[in-house]
Amino acid sequence: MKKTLTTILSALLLVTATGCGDKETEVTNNNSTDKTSQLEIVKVEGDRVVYYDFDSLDASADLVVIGSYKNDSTQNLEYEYSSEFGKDVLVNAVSTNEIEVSKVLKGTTDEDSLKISQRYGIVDEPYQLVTFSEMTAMEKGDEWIFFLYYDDSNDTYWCSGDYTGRYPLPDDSLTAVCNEVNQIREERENWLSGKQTDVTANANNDYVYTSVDGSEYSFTAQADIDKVKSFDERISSAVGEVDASDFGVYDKNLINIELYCDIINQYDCTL
Amino acid sequence: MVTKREIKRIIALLLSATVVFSSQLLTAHAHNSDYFSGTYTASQSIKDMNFRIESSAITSLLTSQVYYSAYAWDNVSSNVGTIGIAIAAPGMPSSGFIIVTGKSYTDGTLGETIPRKADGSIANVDDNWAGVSIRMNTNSNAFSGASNPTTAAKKTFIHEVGHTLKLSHPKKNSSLSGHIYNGLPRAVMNQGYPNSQAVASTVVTHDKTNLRTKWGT
Repeated sequence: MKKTLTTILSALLLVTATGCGDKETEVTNNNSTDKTSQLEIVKVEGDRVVYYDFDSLDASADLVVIGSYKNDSTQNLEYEYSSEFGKDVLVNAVSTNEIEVSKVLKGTTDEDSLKISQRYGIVDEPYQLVTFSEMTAMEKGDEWIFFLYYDDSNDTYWCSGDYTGRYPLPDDSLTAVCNEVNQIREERENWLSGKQTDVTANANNDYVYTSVDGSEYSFTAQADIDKVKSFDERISSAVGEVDASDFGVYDKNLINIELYCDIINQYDCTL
Repeated sequence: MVTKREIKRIIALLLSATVVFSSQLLTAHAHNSDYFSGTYTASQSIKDMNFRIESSAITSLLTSQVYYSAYAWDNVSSNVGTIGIAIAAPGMPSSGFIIVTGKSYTDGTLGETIPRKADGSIANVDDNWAGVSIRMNTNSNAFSGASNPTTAAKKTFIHEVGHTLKLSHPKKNSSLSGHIYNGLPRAVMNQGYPNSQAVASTVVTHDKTNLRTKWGT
């Protein structure tokens, strides 16, 4: 396949043959003209530690920063021999990106830049971006809020919970979305305050809502189910035109807008 | 001899039973289509879901009992073969098995399912798959954050086997009913450590419904 992108302008291709049939390829990319979003993207599914609420996400992070991608990336592709296919096949890809820190929101660092790793890589044959991450690949100029934990075995940071560890800075549009979402949430909490908690779940027609304080409400009356669902529907509607790419994920379904609104409520994300 | 009155009574009973049965169907849980497109091609078949657990996937936490937990998928769909779990031993053939290996990840990955095309390249989830493999995280810290690491490890393997059965992560849908947690259906196919909310520790209603919808009852 003809390469239409001048991905590797100053590429350094290092092939190291290791024992037991493993092969590692380390490529240094100059991404000044590279648009990873233009590559065919192949995404591997799996299970991972993720965070569904602000408190657990924040507790998981050694460092919370605002940073921008400095356009300096290395990738490590890992292959293993497959007897099924009779050849080496790709089993892992990790890209390590350098970000410039604009603001520290939690924790301390003396560094102006940090290394953040993410499991994706660009493969030559076939020419595509293979990702084991739910997050989109970083591109020059990207600026994000990062929830990071330090991996001392690899001297790098990872985003906590992968996609739950990276968020857009709140612009006017997202701020307006959160204002609306927070209003709906307040209405919901006021309505729930009159309801019974820790109700034993019924086998049919349950709708369970867990409040921010951990209280669990289980509804069996259709009117209550319809009411609590209406809050979710209004929140989904408030998200509206927000795109998956705005949040740096491939799947819009992964956007947890309530968690995001809690983040920008807790942290001053202005620069 | 059955009288006309008795016949009418029987018919009335049958009709009322039909109404009750229908109303139960109408109020049955609605579910998303949380599964991938495509099927298996080449030598792999949905009827031959036999997993070979390599030594690299065995740790003090990831024991055979963790892997046997995948039997939770049995008898859900008659079109899906009985799950077979074999702990690799010398001399055991590798062909005819879905290979499960272990790797130490430090990024929060608990496990992953890698589908492949006929040429060995990684396939997209909605493609037809020529083969598939599973990798479990053998890092000692991977499951330590769970309230019960063994339960969490079992849940992850059940989850990965679910992916080999072409099931996807559930999508939020506020119009769903039954076992919904803030718009997300409770399922083993949700990511993360099992909890009392959206992340089930084993196969539950939402998972079963999607497996049957994908492959048949």
